[in-house]
This record gives sequence, structure tokens and C-alpha cells, in this order.
Amino acid sequence: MSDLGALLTAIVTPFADRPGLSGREQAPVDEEAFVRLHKLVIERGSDGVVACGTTGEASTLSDDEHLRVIQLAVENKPAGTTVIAGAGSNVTAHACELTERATELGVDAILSVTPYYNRPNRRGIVRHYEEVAKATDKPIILYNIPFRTGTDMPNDLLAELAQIDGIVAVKQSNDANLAKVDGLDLYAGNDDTILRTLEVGGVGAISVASHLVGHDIKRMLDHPEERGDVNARLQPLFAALGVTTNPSPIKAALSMQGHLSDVFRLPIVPCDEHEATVIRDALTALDLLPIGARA
Amino acid sequence: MPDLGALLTAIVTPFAASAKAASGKPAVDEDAFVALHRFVIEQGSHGIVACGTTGEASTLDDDEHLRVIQLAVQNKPAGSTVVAGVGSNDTAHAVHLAERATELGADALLSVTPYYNRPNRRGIVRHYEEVAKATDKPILLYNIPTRTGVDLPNDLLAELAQIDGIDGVKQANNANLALVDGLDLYAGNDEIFGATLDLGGAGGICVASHVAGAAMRAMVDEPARRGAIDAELAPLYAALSVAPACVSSKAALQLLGQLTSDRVRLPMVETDEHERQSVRDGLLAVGLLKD
Repeated sequence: MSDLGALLTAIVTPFADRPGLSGREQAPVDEEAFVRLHKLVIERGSDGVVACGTTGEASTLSDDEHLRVIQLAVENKPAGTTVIAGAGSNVTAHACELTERATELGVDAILSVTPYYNRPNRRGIVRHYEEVAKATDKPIILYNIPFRTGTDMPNDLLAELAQIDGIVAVKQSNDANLAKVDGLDLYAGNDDTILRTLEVGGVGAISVASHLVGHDIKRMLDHPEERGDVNARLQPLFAALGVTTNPSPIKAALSMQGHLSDVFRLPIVPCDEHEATVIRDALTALDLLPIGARA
Repeated sequence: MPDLGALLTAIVTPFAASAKAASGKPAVDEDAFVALHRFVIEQGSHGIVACGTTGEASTLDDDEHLRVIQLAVQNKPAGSTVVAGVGSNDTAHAVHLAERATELGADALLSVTPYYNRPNRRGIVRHYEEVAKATDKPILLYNIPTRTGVDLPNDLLAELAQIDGIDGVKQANNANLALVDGLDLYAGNDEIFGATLDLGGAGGICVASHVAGAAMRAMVDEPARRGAIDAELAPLYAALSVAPACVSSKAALQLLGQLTSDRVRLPMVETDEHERQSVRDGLLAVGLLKD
């Protein structure tokens, strides 16, 4: 197992329900709910968490909030587990600042997504990560997710980036590229590709469904002979959690379980009735809802 | 919607050459911006989009971003327009920028789809409802799925057109190029500027017009010559896409003596030798540079 753990949950950032907020006001971070959820996710089988990733709605956190959530994660980290900080930006100077600050706060590693939207070319991506790597003495996990960023990092570029001191792993969310790359530990970036990731020599997963079914996914990681069966059983849940943009479905599911309020910051919105039904059905099928909340 | 003009240039934000390359954060060169703004209008643009993607808005902090918009408004040549880029993938931030740009006196706002976090359709509608409440100026939507990861299909554009104040769209998804009820249509890529005008669109938000403004203006004013000019400019469009638009445009402007520095901010990097030669060849091909 990688030192960072095999099963890492891309933990959501709970927001407090404040009736009466106008559309443009931001719901505050619910710090207590975050700490409770962090503990729950570890109890459910994760080796660690990624705080303030995409699933953690980092896009709509201010820097102060972002760093505060990372601090909470580090301060309340259960013994023997890890905290990886999402610290990506499409501004190199900003990515470096977040990386430095997260390092000072005591995280175990950094997750750094490709610059999104501005679409730097290959030389720009290399320069970007050279600067990010200088900003920390912690290991860096790259994150390739072209359908969000607009830019793919092909495997030969990943291999080039692996030459930079401190870059040790990649979270791969481009299924078409899924393969082991020299010099990088490979993490699945999508729940429905965990099985294939492990088959091609991956070390683990940065998962969303593991908020709910961490023990099952952990079994996939630890027991190769059970992988296929567990994966088949979880497929409907993976699909339900993709019924609309992440993290709306996972927050809806955790809300149905009673662990947090189903609150988001725009432009992310709560699941509508149809989407909620799809999620409730999937949770019910796996016996993941308390009596009274089932479909 | 007030007439914003047919040829709008997505103007670059010049940076000073002096800062150390390693810092990645050279300062905005305000004098160079004002001079370039004037040059772009003199060449034939009806107006500019300040702090769009080509203006490297991603790597400007809010103070710099709003200062550039202020400079554009204050130094706007008579009869020309200033559209302010004010998009964000954080609705509250998009609202803030829209409010401030309105206070500064921009003629209209360009608001890109939230990128990276990929809101669903309901989220996109809610986003633009909030942005529209933040201003009394016309809003141009901006559809560019290759950057944002989210397409605004034409039926969603038509739905968004129902929101008061949403009056136009910059269309950079060539596959969707069509008139949409209730929206002025602007080309979001140089190579569809001619096609957009042919369709009856309002115009284009262009990059090549930094250097080929006169020819592109003639595409508006002389429809009979449009197709021929468009074909002649094709090598320039191609040359400018050899690197990100801000990078290649700054190189072209420097080659033409209109910018002293081609500096960009990381993660953008200046043209390498090969890219620079391609830009030079493009300028030579359309007669903007002589051997």
C-alpha cells in the first residue's frame, strides 16, 4: 500500500442550512458536521481523506475557508489515517500559495489538478508543476480530468512530470488513459473505474462512493478475488451517484442517512425530486438507509 | 440591447517585461494597455472585451481585473464600446464582478458558463438569474465547452434569453452556431466570424482583429468581399492558434511593434522559437509583416 493509503475519500464540505439566505449569499461551512463526517468516513473504511477537492466544492470556498477546512481535517485526523489537501488552481501563483499554506498546516500530501479553463500548453503545464513542487516538501498527486479542465495530460506528459521531485502519483479520471505510468502511483479518479485501475497496477482510489460503502471498496482493494463481485454489486450505486453533477448526489445520499444538510453554493444546486428518487432507490437496494428513509 | 458593434476585440492584457521570469507574476502594464486599446479601435474594431480569457482574466486578481476595466472605460475612444469579462465558476464571485464592472461604466458584460465544477442545467439557470440581478447592463453569455467542460445547447440558450438583461451569446462551440431567439449572436472563434455574419449574427468577439482589424472590419462593412477576405485571413487564424490566444496574440503584437513585451503569467508561457516563427509566417502570409 502507498504511504498515503489505498482508499481515500474525496470528502464533501458540509454547509449549514440557514433558511432565509438569498440566492447570492453563501451558506457557511458547517465545521462540526465536517469533523463528524471525517470520523464517519474513516470508520467506514477509508485510509484517509482528500479535503477541498472538487467534491469538497473547493471552487466556491474562499481561500480562508479552504485552508480552515484543511486545518480542521489535520487537527481531527484519526490516528493512522492521512489527509491530502486539494490545492489546485489555474493560476500558478495561487496554486503555489495554497500548496505552501496546506503544507504549513501539516497535510500528508497535496492533490493538484491541471490548470482548468485557460488551457496552458504542454510547456506551461510543466512549468506550472515545477513551481508547485517547489512550494512543498510533501508528496504531490497530479489530477487528470479533462472533461472538467479542458486539457488532457497524456501518459507521456505524466511520465515527464514524474521526473519533477515530489510528484509521486496521479489521480486518473480520464478512463481512456488508464494505465500505469513510470514513476507515479496510480489512483482511480472515478468509482466505476476502480476495478480496472487495480487490474492495471493501480494502488487505490480517490473515491466518492466510499463516503457510503468504504468497507466494500476496501475489500475490492484488499481481496482481488472478491473484486469483480463487489464491483458488480456497487455499480448501481456508482451510477446513481452520477445522476447529476457531483457532489449533489453524494450530499443528497449523506443527507438521507442523516449525516448532513443537503446545502450547496451556487452554481451547484441540490438534487431535484427525480434525482433524489434515483439515489434513494440505489441506497435502499444496498440496505444503506435507516428504516423510515427507504424507498 | 444597445448596439455594441459588430467587431469586438478580446483584448490582451499587457504585462511589463521587467519582472523576473521565475516569479510568474509580472505587473500589468497600464500604459501599454491604453495604447493598445487605442490602436485596436483605430484598426477598425467597434469595441473591446476587456478581461476576457484572452485578457488572461484567470491570472488577474480582482483588483487588477477591475482596474483594467476601469482603464478601458476611462480611455474608451469616442463611439466605441467596452464589454467587461466578468465570469466565474463561483456565482457569488461572478455577481461581485458584474456589480463592480457595472459601477465602473462598462457598456455590457460577458459572462462565461461556470467552468470546471460543471453545474447542471438548473444550476446554470440559477447562476445566470443571480448574475442578471447584479447589473442593469446587457449580458452576453459565453459558450465554450472546450474550456468549461459544459455546453450550453441552443435550447438552453433560448431559455436563458428569457432572463431580463441576457441579450447575447458569444458562441465558441462551432457545432452549435445558429441564431437563437432573443439573443444577439457573436462569433467566439475567428474562423466562424464570416459565417456568423452570413447567418445574420451581430458580429464577433475576435482575436485576430488585434492585428487584422481593418480587414475584419471590411468583412462587416462590405459583405460582398466577406468570403474572399475570410479566405485570405485563414493562414493568420491558423497561425494564432499555434499557442493559447493570449500567447500568440502578444507575440504577433510584439512582432508588429505594438507591444514591447510578450510576457504572460504562469501557467501560460511565452511562444517558443517554433511557435514564434509560425506567428511570423502567419503575419507574412496576410501581408501584415514584410520580409
